[in-house]
Amino acid sequence: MSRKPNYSSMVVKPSAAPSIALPSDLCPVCKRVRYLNTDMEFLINPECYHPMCSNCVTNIFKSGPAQCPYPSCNKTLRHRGFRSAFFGDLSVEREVDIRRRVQAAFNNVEEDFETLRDYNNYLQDVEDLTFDLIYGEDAERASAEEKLLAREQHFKEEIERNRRRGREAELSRQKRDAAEAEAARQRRLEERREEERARAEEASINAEVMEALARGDPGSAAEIQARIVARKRARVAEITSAHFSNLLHTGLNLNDPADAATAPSSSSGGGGGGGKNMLSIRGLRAKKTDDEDDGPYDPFAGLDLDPTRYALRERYGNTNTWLDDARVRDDHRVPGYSVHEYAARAMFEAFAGLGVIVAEEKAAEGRGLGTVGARDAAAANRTAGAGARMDVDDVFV
Amino acid sequence: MATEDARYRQSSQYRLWSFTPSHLSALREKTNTLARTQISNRLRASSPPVDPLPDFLSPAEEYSLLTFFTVELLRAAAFCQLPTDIQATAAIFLRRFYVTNSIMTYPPTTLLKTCLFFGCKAEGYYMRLQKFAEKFPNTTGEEVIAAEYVLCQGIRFAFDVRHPFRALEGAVMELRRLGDFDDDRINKAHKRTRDILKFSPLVTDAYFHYTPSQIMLAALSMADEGLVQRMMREAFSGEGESAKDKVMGAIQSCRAMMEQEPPERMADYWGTTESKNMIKPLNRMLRKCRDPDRVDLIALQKARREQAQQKTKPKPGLKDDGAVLGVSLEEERESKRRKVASKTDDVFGPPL
Repeated sequence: MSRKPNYSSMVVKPSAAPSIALPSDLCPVCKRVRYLNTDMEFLINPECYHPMCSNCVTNIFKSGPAQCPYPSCNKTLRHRGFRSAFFGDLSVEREVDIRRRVQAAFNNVEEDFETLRDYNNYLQDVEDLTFDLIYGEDAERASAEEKLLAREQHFKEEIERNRRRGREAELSRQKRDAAEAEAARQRRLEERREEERARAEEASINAEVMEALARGDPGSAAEIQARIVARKRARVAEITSAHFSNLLHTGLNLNDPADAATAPSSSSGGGGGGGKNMLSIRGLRAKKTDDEDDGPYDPFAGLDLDPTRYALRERYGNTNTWLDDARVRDDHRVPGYSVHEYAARAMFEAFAGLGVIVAEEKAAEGRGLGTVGARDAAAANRTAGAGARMDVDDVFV
Repeated sequence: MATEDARYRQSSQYRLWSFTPSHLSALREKTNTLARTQISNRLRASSPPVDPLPDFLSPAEEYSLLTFFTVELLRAAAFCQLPTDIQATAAIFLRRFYVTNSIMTYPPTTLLKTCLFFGCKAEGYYMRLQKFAEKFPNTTGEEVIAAEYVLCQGIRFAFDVRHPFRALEGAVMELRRLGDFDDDRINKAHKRTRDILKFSPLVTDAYFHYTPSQIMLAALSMADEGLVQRMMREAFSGEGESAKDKVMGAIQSCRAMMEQEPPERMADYWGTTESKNMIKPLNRMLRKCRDPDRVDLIALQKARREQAQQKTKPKPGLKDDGAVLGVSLEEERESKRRKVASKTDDVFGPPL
């Protein structure tokens, strides 16, 4: 962090923005000099951005909120608000702070909008507002401030949601980057390995030709050589082509996440706030709320397991002796035999399907499928192995 | 709608193996006619053509044979000392299999053993094939498993059969909890109902037309009507009189169906000369009109396997570029095609 003194940019802004460079040697409040206090540090308060040394801050604000010691500045400052500035130029520091705050409030992303034009308009509006806040006249600044406040207050939930989503996107982006880097590393390793393999293949051609000749393979020497060389070439080509297809594949993958949906959806999204002192955001997409309303995952896909025709009791007394045995005796209990499970299953089976009247429910099926089913069954019975039937290795076809 | 019913509707027993009586009889008729045409074609095409075609079984005759073989299966299961659930599962497998396959097409004596063995598998009851085969005369393990895959296809891979046995335990628990009846009465009804459930619904079509709880209540009403009335009053207290009456109607018709085959008939009818006299001519007919291709299932399976192996073997011929480069392009394409094709096919086959 270099805090280079920059006297040349000491431009005092026409408005209330007290743009000054951070002093390097002399505290403008207590006039102490760095020469005598080598560990002197200048602090600012984002209320008014007037720099003063840490000693002054402690002296003046330790005991509670007080007025800024600068003449002509009547802001009340607190000890907690002081911090060291990041930029040497305090006007830059202020602008960055303001931008950060505006960004936190207006944190929609391009996917939120129906069209690119809507998104650009939104960006333009936000930038106008930011400019007013930073460089605007008093009146402009006040109205911009009002808009910002309104946004911060009225759209708390939306802002929070956008923020969370942004964070998630950031996390997933990081993960993806890491995975890509890892994949690239693997690819490089693989490449090198394949290169070595290809080279080894090339190198072994001569040896193999000699061997084949010694073995006395059929064909003339030239033929043998040609054959072996051809085979080797094919192997090498295979190795490299496998490698290329690999590359091609990853290349495609890399492009994949980039093409986010930009096509405008036909439904007109509700615009942002409509008040006078609010920045109106137009062209927002209708929010998808299904991911929030989903509730917890249901492994039975909505099937209710509570019985309706009977109530499962904790205990079924004196049913039969072996059940009591199972409840009491250790050699039954230790392997995990659960009497309750048994009772639950027996009770379920006693009442399951009681209301299923097969003669009624399967009536339609009987009419529709009877002939078809029999025809298929006939196909299965045909002696000649016709290819038209199910491809299973029935030994009796 | 009651959640119990919604859960039952998701079972394969409801989705694949519940039919209206008319639908089921239509299916059986269709199966019969198809088997008839197919076998007569086959007999005509055999090298000395069978000129006067034999009499084929009618659907009704097929059905009585099926009942006979179901009883045989239960007898064999009892002989093997298999648990009740497995007996019932095997019996239902056999009945389901012969809905879309004719008795004339696949020999029921073999399928019966296959059903028993596969029922053990489906219920998670381990049994060694060799040991199992030794229990039957003139039976090899090969014969038992020859038709296993065909059986799986025939029952449309629905291995889970919902039985009314545990439901009965639940009903007894509920009756005891209500406390309106003394224990003796409940115990007597319980025992009688169990006996009924072990036999009557398995040798009739009850499993196709009614849900396990309805079968259970029908059997219970055969044993003691009062208990059923009390239970139904309790269960349908929240659903209204009309719903209850409807279910009672289903239970009554189920009861009527099961009363044709009360458990006493196992000893009084099946196995006596009366039933033998009824079955004997049918069996004789069956021997004449069965599908000559499928009499020896083992040989058929073996031939089929060999054929399949030969099909996959690459033909020795001219070497193409692929062979020179070390990759058989043809083979690769074939395996890819198989992969793609297997994805599109429904493993459960066409609808019935």
